[in-house]
Amino acid sequence: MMVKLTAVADLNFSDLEIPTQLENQLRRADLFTTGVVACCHDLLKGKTIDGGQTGLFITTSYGPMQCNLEVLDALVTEEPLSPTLFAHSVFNTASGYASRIFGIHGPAVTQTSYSYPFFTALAQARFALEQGQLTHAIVLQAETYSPLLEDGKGGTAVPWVPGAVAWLLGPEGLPLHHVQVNETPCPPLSRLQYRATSSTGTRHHHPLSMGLELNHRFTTSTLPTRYDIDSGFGTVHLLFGDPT
Amino acid sequence: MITPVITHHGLLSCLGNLQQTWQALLDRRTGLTPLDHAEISTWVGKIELQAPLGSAQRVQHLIEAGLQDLPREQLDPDCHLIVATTKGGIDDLGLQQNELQSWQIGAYLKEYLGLQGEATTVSGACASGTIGLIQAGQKICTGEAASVLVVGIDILSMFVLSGFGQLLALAESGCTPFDRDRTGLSLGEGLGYMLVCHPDHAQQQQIIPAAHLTGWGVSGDAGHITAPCRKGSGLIRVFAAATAEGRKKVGGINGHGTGTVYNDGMEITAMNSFFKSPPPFHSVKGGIGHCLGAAGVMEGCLCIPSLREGIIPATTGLQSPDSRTTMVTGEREQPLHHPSILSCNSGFGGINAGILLERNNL
Repeated sequence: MMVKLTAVADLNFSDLEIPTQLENQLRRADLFTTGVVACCHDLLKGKTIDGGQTGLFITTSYGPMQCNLEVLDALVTEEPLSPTLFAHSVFNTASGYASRIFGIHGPAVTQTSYSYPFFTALAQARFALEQGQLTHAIVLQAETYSPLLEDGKGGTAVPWVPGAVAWLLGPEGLPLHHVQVNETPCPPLSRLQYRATSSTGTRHHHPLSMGLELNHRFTTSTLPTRYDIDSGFGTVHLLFGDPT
Repeated sequence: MITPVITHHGLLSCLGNLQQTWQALLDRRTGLTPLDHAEISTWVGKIELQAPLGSAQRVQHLIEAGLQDLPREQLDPDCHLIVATTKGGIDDLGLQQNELQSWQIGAYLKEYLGLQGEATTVSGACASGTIGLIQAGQKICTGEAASVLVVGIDILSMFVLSGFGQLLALAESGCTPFDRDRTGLSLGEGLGYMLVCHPDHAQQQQIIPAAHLTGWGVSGDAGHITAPCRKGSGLIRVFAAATAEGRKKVGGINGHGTGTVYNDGMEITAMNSFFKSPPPFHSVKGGIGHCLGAAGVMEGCLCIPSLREGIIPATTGLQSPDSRTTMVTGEREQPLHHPSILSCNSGFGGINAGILLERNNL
């Protein structure tokens, strides 16, 4: 099957508005899970997918960070720990919510990576579609942010706005011919500080930035046939459209 | 059709290395001991490591001890790496550079092993290890990699112990999987590794595979966040995918078998629904505890001696089997009905995953 990019969506969590019909289902969810579901909702708006033939590939660098910190805070201060809070600290919980709300019965996989989480998941999803195991795949990267990250980054990194980027892959849309991710060893600080440049000349300072650029280019029809990323921690090569 | 093969495998559990763990399971010995903690009354599968629970140092020590037997010189530098974990050094979470959180272990291990290939981390809760092995199989089948090292690792932490405690999921003493009086799970810690290769790659290296990875499946229940689907719908879809709708024979099943009422009930329901005559099945968690993200790889490793010896070990801790099943192994090991084992795990978020391993007949 020729894998195609059918639709894109992205969400800035500081502008997050929970769709009315999801309010009840998300009443206990943390920001990470709420953002994943809301972004998925935007992505699937007006689309028809077969839930049994659709896979969900959620990916993140840091996961539900605030939720994990709150669990630790409860332990340190010897306050009662909320079982709901603990459940939301598990990285796979967001994919559980999304699969339940959108009726996705295929693989619901969560991956973490410092370097190129979105593209690693994209490669996985593309393989699954190429193999004919699925008709559609949702690839979604979500990131939260904590000022505590500044400590780890030596105070030199650019903060980012928490958010999510999502792609729907399927049999219709712009052909996605090739996804190649090559990670190379680098000092941990280089990954944390996150400096990458894409072939369009755009500089990227956080893990969501490249997906956001691609989404903008897709919606404004300025997506180049070939899109490459280079950084101290590796390269990414994407090939869209007609492979001439 | 390419069938990926397993060329190297090993583990470290509270019962010791692979051979020691296997022998203990055959003897129905448990490595579970009471947790030394005033407020959490439970038993755990704790490894003797000189580092605090939940710490980055403990992750590091477990990596060093658990990968001792891995013949690194036989790893292709381009070998891909898949790490399966849930929480890493979570009790140390303070966002310092080298704290080995779940999202950092992949990069650390890649450097530790001197690998050049892609490194990814699966955080699919308790199904992470099995999903990691499936992703390795896919990489081999699509030609993306000639060899993939899958490492499952998780340590005991106060974070996870307290969380499961608050969910009222912990057994007060050692867990009793598939028992009619089961009361909950016992957490464990450990590391397992499996090297999944293209058969040509194994042949070039003149390595006789330990097993063939002949089928797999992953599914989402799309139900509750922490509880499995009571009808076992997601696991049934895994059984169907891994066995090509029942056309591939299953000689025995390594169940997830945590010892919780709902998980084990769901698995028994799924087995009774899918198989006309369920093969013998067991759980290792009464011996080594539930090792979370590492469970799938560690249990995959334990399937290899099972296949070699044609038996499935007894279920440590089991006293009186759940009334809805007759095939769960009790006091004694049982012979496999066919030289193949289906190993399954399920987890938070309603994830289910399974792999079918077959004995190498070369």
